[in-house]
Amino acid sequence: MSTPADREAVDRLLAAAGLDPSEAERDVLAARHAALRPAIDALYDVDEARDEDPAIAFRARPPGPVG
Amino acid sequence: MTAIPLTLTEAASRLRAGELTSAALLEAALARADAQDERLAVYLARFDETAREAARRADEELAAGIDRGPLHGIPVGVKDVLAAREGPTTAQSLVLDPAWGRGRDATVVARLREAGAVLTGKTTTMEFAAGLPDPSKPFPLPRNPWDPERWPGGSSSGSAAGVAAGVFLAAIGTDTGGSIRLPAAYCGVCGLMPTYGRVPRSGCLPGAYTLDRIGPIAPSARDCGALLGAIAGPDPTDPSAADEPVGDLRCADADGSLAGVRVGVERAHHLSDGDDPALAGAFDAAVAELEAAGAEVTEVVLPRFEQALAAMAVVSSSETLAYHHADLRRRWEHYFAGTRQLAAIGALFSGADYVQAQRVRRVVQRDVARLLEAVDLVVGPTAATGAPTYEEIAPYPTVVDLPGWNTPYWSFVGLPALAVPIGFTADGLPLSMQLVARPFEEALLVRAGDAYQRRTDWHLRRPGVAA
Repeated sequence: MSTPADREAVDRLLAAAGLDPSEAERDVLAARHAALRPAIDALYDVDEARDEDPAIAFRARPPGPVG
Repeated sequence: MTAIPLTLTEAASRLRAGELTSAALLEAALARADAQDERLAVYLARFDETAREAARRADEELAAGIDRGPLHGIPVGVKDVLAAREGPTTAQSLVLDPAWGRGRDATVVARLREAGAVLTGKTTTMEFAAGLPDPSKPFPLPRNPWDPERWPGGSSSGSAAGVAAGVFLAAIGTDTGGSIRLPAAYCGVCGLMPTYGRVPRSGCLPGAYTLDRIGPIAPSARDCGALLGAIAGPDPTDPSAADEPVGDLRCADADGSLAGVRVGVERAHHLSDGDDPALAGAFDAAVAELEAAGAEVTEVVLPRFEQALAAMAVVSSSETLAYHHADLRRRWEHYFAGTRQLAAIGALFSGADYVQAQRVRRVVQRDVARLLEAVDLVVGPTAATGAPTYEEIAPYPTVVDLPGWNTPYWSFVGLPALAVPIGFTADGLPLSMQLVARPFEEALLVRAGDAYQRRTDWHLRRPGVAA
């Protein structure tokens, strides 16, 4: 169940992103924010991740033809 | 009219024995499409004339002793998120620039041609392989050949439905969170999501960059191996493509034995009270067949399941939003409702959230690697139920809200997974299990799937429309 604070947060985040969903779509996103935010915040408490690099690759040489 | 063989492997054998021609096989497949596609909506575009030319060329080459491998002369459909030179790529979207990919082949499509496959057309999907069906948009609604009132699953909807209906013998799908395995499960065919990086993605529209895979959908496990063998391998134009040897993914020398293979059965996160009543029994029977083939079966539990799915939500939606952000700002209403809702979830997370999710992903990856030191394969049901009706999926805002998908965890950890049919619900809808292996061990998946399918015939059952 989302709270007015979830809806406020969603409206703020959507505005920052320049997205303009309908009221009904914002309500769905607010409910999702309420459901997901605690689980996402808990990801910062995973001790084993403290010394991990993110699972994102970068190579200095660009792939494919240049220009 | 030529009878369409039940598997790609059988068709390849009959082509080489002179019992079948590619031209006749193609005409039978086109006739099936003529008869069924208005109802099933497998295709967004058909390439009948270029397919006929490719089939004629395949027959000439095979007659001359030129053998390009198991796909030579085989009709294959391609999901419409991959570029093919015959026509535009739409991603089933009003938003995508029609010039995208024009006149060129995705690496996978080029490899299919090199292998002698006969490309029959582009198959229906969900918008950008992400949205749910949206009847308000001017695209066909793909139907399940086992019951056209039902959804074939997605997002590789037409690819799986087309294989089940015999509109082609194999197809290419893509999988970000289950989009090969779910439609394969709902349509009663096999689908193989390869290891992340196994198949190059150049010329394929992105869903989520660190999750997307391209892979085969086909009647049997060996068929999937044959298709994967043709499209896998390094590609300098795709930085995510792995420099790993491909090997024999057809497992031509497999003998049906799983002696020495340790299978971990996962029930804790793959079975629940909401499952179809027939699922647990069908899954137990499937595990018993693996054991009867020689596998050593033990019970396992997936590590960090909830953390993985939370992190997956951040990674998937953030990467999807990055690709669509500019268009969403300008053309929100032009997107399917399910696509824009899914992408907008990415706006709820910070850059730090994304990086932390990718760090937790490494932790999950290590824990799963430890699990796969104790067993060689993990198995569990692919989906909780048979295919839902369109009415049943209508209330859900996005594809990630649909219940009963057991696929995203395996997408997140990058491992290969093979979905195979294992029976039917009381309503006659296919049920499925997925087998998961270590990175780049698709050959073991094919071998295990083949061993199971030598002992069962679920993969040879066809819906009435394919009779």
